[in-house]
Amino acid sequence: MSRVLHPIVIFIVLLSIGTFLRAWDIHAQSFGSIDAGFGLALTSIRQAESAGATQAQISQLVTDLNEALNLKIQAQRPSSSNESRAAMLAHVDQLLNDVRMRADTVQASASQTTLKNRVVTYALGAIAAIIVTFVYSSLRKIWSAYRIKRTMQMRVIVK
Amino acid sequence: MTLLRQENRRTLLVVFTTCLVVFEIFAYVATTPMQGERFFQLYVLGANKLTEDYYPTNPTLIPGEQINWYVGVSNFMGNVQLVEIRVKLANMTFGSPDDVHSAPSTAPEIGLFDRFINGNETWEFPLVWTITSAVRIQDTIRIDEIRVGNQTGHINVSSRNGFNFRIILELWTLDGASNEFQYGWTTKSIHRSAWLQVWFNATTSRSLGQLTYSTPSSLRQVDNRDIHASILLMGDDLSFRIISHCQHKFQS
Repeated sequence: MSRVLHPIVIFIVLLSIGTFLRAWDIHAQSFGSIDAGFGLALTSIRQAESAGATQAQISQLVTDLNEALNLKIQAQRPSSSNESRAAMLAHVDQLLNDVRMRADTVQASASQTTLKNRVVTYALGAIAAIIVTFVYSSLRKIWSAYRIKRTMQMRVIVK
Repeated sequence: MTLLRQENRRTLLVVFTTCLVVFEIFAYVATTPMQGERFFQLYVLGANKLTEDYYPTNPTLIPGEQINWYVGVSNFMGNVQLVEIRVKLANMTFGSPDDVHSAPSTAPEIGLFDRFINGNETWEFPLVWTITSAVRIQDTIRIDEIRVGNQTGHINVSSRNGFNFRIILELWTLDGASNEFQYGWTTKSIHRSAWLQVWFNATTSRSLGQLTYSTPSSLRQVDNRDIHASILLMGDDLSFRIISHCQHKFQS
């Protein structure tokens, strides 16, 4: 038994090491980070999106985020003066804060709307089930009455 | 009679429960967003936004010649993504991006383009690039400087006879967890990547290219294949000798 188990254990260990190294290798290839402000704004927008924000609301936020990104790129150019660079970076921070705040607001309202829609949809499911049961019951009653009526109308014919 | 009523109630209860389960399943499906396959699309088009006319005349470029392409990225990841297109210049010896190990090309970067893209949105932008400085050293053409949009890349990429240069376009995305750009993207714990390359040749003078593609009427009877072969073998700084060679062939 142990003769069979040993190679299996070794195989599993080697496989685990291989998987770990592969995961590490992929992570090690990534380079070049971006300001934390952009990352936070992106996270806020994604949260708003998953909360059920509309496409129009998200598009507006993304437009502002792109404006901030373009300003950031402009500020990094060597041709821009120190003063204009500082002004641009200040505007970038302001834009990012604004986007984050609006994304949070959008997320809150979208969550409420989504919850309301979900409750209404599930309630509609229950109402539909009640209606179908009522219709079924009514049809069954009509069918029973019809059958009773038919039975009462029967004539006994002696052959 | 009571038994009959009880049976009726039981039947109705079964009908109601069945309907409730079915309709609530419908409600769940309607309120839960579907998660399809998540991916990016990357494409490059020529000057007329078609998959042709990538070069104004021929794929042998000279310094100063402006190339107009359109690069497009479509986001089908289901949410907003920060995308970065890294433009690289390579020759035959630089490694191409590795799809198996998700490794980017080792070639030097000459341009970067960043943009936040909405879900199901396509970002298309003009990619205008020009070789601004190239030198010939014996039988090798070395590109020293290349301009991509308003970015200038100082590089040192050379190729024998100026053949087989390539522009590589790689798609990078922002990894939300580490706040760093990663080559490609991760979906369902699987790493995927997208890249493109377009080949070109480089030379330091246009005179030979013009000779190949618009021969003077006096030289029309010369076999074009001969001229082209001469250009490839002799190089741009010997243009006068090539023309002489053609005329001589015509006369003889």
